[in-house]
Amino acid sequence: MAQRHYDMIEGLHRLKLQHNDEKLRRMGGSWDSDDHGWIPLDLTEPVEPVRDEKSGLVTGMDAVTRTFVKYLDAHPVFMHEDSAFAGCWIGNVTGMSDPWRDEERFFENEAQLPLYNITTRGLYAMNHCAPDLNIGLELGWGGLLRKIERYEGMHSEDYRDFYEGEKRLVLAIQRFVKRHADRAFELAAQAETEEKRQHFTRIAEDCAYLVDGAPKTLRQAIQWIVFWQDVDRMYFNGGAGQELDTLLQPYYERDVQNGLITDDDEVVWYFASLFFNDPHYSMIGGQDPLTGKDVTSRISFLILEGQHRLNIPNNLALRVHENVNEELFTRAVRYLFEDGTGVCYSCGTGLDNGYARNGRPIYIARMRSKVGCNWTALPGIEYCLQDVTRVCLAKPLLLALDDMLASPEENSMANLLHHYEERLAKAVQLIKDGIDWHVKYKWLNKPEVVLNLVCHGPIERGMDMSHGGVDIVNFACDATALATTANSLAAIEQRVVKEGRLTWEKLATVLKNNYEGAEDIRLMLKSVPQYGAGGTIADRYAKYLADLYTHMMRDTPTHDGFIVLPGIFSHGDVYIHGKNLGATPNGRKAGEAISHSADPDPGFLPGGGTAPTAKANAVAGVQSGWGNSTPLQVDIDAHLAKEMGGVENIKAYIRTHDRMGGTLVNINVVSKEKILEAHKNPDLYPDLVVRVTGYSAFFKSLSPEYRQQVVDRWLANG
Amino acid sequence: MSMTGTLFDIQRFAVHDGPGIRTTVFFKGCNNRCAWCHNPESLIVRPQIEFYPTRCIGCGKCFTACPNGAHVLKDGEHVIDRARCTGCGLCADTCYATALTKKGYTATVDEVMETILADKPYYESSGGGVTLSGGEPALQPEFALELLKRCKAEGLHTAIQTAGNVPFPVLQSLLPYLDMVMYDMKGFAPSVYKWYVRGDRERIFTNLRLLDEEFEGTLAVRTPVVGPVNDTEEEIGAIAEMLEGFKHLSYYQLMPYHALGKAKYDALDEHFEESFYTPSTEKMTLLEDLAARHVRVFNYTRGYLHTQEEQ
Repeated sequence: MAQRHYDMIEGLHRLKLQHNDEKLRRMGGSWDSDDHGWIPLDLTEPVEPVRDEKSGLVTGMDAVTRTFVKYLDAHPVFMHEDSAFAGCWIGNVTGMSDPWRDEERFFENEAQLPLYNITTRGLYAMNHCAPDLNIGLELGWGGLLRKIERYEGMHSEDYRDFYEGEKRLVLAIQRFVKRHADRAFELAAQAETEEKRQHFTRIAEDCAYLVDGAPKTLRQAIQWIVFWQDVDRMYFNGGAGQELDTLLQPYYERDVQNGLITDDDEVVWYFASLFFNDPHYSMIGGQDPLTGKDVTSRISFLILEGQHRLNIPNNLALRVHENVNEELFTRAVRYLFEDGTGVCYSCGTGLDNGYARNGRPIYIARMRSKVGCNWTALPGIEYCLQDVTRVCLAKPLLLALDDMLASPEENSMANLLHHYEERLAKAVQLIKDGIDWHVKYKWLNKPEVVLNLVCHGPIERGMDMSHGGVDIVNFACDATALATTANSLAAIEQRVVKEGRLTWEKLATVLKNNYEGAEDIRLMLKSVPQYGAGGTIADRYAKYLADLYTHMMRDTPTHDGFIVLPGIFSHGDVYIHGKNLGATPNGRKAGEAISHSADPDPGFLPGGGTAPTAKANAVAGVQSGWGNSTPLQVDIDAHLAKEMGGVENIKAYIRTHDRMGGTLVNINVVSKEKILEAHKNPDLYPDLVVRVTGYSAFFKSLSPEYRQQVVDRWLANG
Repeated sequence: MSMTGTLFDIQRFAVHDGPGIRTTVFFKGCNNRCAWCHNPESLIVRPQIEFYPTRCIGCGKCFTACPNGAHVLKDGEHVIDRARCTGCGLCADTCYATALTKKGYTATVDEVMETILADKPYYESSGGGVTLSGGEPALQPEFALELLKRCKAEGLHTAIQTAGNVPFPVLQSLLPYLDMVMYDMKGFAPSVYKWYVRGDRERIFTNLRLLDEEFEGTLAVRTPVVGPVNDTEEEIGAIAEMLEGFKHLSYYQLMPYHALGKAKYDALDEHFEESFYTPSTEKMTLLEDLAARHVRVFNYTRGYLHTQEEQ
């Protein structure tokens, strides 16, 4: 039986490659993001959004959910002979790109954002919080519907809009599930073989049951999650999953006990099918919140095996901590070596201790699960809006340089930093003001209609999770361009202040002229010892910037009292922030990409090399220490993977970063030759998967600019 | 004042120079002249200038920076007059395009230790440590000894890569502070030493035997397998046969030659011998299997190949 399951997983792998080709065609040739699992199908009929009468926009609970319902009703059904589960998503709910109502838009704030190169502003953002899927698994869709009705009965008319909207959505989801059941029964009836008949009958029966019932078996539980994932994705690309092993362990163990599961290979196929459906961010391993003991169980291995065998872009994380299960850890690294990509390593020590510093008990901190690109969140009880708010550290430096030169004060490093701090403070305040505005008006415009169902509080209180629905509210903001800015400050201090090779005015001129005709000056500025080398001026400035930013963001809450937890992470803003940014004093030309997250720039060591240990030390040294991630991105040569001791060395490397206070390690394993060839001829490597930042993707799917970023890192490896 | 040594590189996250994650300190200067050496910048102690013309932006600053007029135009092309170049590095200091780089620098024990200790947590978690390599580290024995003493005081695992062409008492002085010795045997036949290694064969052989008598740590012997010089069953078989009688040998390792040093030879205006080649994987496997009849052989991908007796 094992071979049959593995054949089906292989079939899913091939199907994903086919889908990817079609997706690339539809997306115009490249796709610089997570695979997201969407399937290139079309709606059964066009959907005309339902718009709010007053504003003419798809805003507010009523219009949003009515549009969502129409979309769900027109959404195609999907199932496949190689997948254990039915369901898919094909795109975002129509009309959701409508902006907020004019009277609730923060126009004043919006106007100032470009000055500070803030593009990912938090304000108006969606999702990026963690669900607690236990709620859905315990109740099922029918139970959720009855829960909504029960609480609606306890609330006044004022809450009617909220409850009717949520109820409307659940009823549509039930119809969506039922259509899958009906289609599966049809396919079973038409099946040419007994094997296929049984396959589709099984899917049909589970779906039919899940229209109302709460999952009883592991297979039903995962099928429920698949439908939830689909609906979550449809609504603004929601992508947060959960700790899959502890969530599903009771179902697995009960099924084994009851004799329903006799073959673990079948379970591996379940998980491969789940990951085929959607690479929602999820986690295995970690600590029991109360006892601190590692929670790894048999199912943790089966989840990992499913990911490994499917071998497509995936966003599973292994939580590393002092007592991490060694066997699971070893297997995860071994699979990373075999597949070139695999789980990312969420570092419990830095994350848990950091979050606890906010005044939370350590057991709450341990509950914060790695369910996003770079981020963690408390499942179902925290509104945190992770990964959608970023401040560019480099733009305030260019503004500060202009400020200083325009002022009557003397030009000096101290004055430059003084102006820099003023400018950065303004950028930080813009973010904080945006957060306050967001909380006030978001629920009126784009309520979290999907997450509300699987959080503790929104249904009980009749309040959106962004607006009083959950008890823990803290926000997040990531800094970008750390190395760009640190190396720039170092270049100024060394070449202008210490050596006097360049005047302040000349520096300003060459920057304004984008180093035109001043290549020697550009190279002179670029060649100062870099951030990451250890003990350099740039290292000192990196620490200064990280501390300054952390204090500005964390020490003072927003006007309305919300805490904002800082991290350093750039995601796609490497390009967007770079594109909007003028030439910088580190020798970077206008429009070029900024540095990646908190990583030192490629070739940061003297002589132009790099070393994973030096890089990890640098990233560990600039962690904010408040429980949000500042990830480390490392590329390991595939040759090491084949060698004795390679796995143990990488484990030691990850473990050390965890002990040093690191928060997340993303690793690619590929040979330089292969990555260069794939860059030249992406079509020859259709299933090469790389971890771009916090997410993984088919290398082929990335735009040439994104592929270049991965290649540049490899070239710097020497 | 901390003692100083002459180095040409320090490599962090070194995973091929002993167990675990290591930092390898490359000493400059060697008294062998292996014709295939992939680190030509390691041979002489004096600093040297590497020149990579493709990076040159033609700013001309090096011409004025050089006090000896070593940068000249020859047939319209920028070249270094090596007879005039003292390796002072003033030209490289002005070359922001990094077309000119100075190879070789003086470092104090304190400075080297600072770099080494930056990665101490990784040594501890991986069972790694520090490796002295080169060049020939035993040619700077006082500096090597001081460095090793400091490493041991920090509780670090220590290793040395040596070609053994030094008086035995020099090696002997380092042994109390070494956990591992990786000893290079470049070949067996006297002709290999006469024409290619250009080092004292008798001393190298004798020192290895003495090491086997005296050293209580891990002793490994390594041979770079270079076609057509020593990639033969006769050469490798003879070395393995000799090692068979050794009491403390941990393993024997064969390392295939590679031509990656070519760019550096060009940058130093030195002759790169094109006639050497990398033995095929099949050939390497055959030679390893042959050696494994006599001694335990280590290969990074194949692991340990045990002799019949061990099996």
